[in-house]
Amino acid sequence: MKVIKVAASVMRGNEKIALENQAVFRNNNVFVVNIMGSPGAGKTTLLLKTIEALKDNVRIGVIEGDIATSHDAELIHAAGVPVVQINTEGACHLDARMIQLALTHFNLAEIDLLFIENVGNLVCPAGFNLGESARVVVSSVPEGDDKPKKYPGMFRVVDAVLLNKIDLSGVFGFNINTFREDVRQTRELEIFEVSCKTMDGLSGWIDWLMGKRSAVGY
Amino acid sequence: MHEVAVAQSILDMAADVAKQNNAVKITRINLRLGAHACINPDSLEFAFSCLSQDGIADGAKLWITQVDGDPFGLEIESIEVDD
Repeated sequence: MKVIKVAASVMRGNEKIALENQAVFRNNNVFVVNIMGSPGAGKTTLLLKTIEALKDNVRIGVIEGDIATSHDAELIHAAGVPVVQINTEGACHLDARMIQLALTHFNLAEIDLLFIENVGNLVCPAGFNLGESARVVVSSVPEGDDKPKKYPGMFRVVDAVLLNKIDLSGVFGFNINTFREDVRQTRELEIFEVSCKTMDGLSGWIDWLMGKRSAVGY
Repeated sequence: MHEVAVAQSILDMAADVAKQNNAVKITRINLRLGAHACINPDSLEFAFSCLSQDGIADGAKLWITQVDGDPFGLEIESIEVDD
């Protein structure tokens, strides 16, 4: 019997490509936001509202990740920005390799801000670095106020939380203090209470996003 | 969360190292697992035992040590082989 030293990360394949993606984004001055959250939290609608608010000032691109269909990509395309749909055909998350392949369909010199909408899932996407500049999770009132406590892995890796459908908090008996406190127990994070329907709170999110982008010098 | 894919990566990496060292059998793989890596050790062992059947690591033991270092990390520390 012989012991052979290995000392290598099991995720090294993904990490290596994530670093390559990061270098490509940096060389092209592209700020990249990975948007995660449950199915139905409102990721695509948030994206559409954000595009609407920013597209006259910033050149935007979108990568849509879904298990199947190009439904979301069609919505984004109709908003007039370049979009690439990734169909994971069963996989529950996007990985760095999928992003690397999707990037070949963009002219990055013509993009300032790239959104990656991840597969709707509060677990797996949190484990895969894509080489992005910022990560956010979209949570929504109908999902319940217990999500930060039940899915701490997601809340540990993001830079901000968007609590969507805030106009429904009364209907669903959603306790915002419980939600905020449970996020805080995991990490101190900026939480934006927004409604993509009434447009409440969206300017705070957009200011934060643009602030993060300026902070890296783009 | 995706223990089957992780088990396959472990198996591939360990098999590569074993072959580079001219070993014919892997008997044990020592892993270091971070507290927030979101890997369930039982599921990982089960997936590994299924995937490794009839190959170089058939019957190999996965030895998982929880570590404080990188909380999101999962590392193969070493493998034990027979020549």
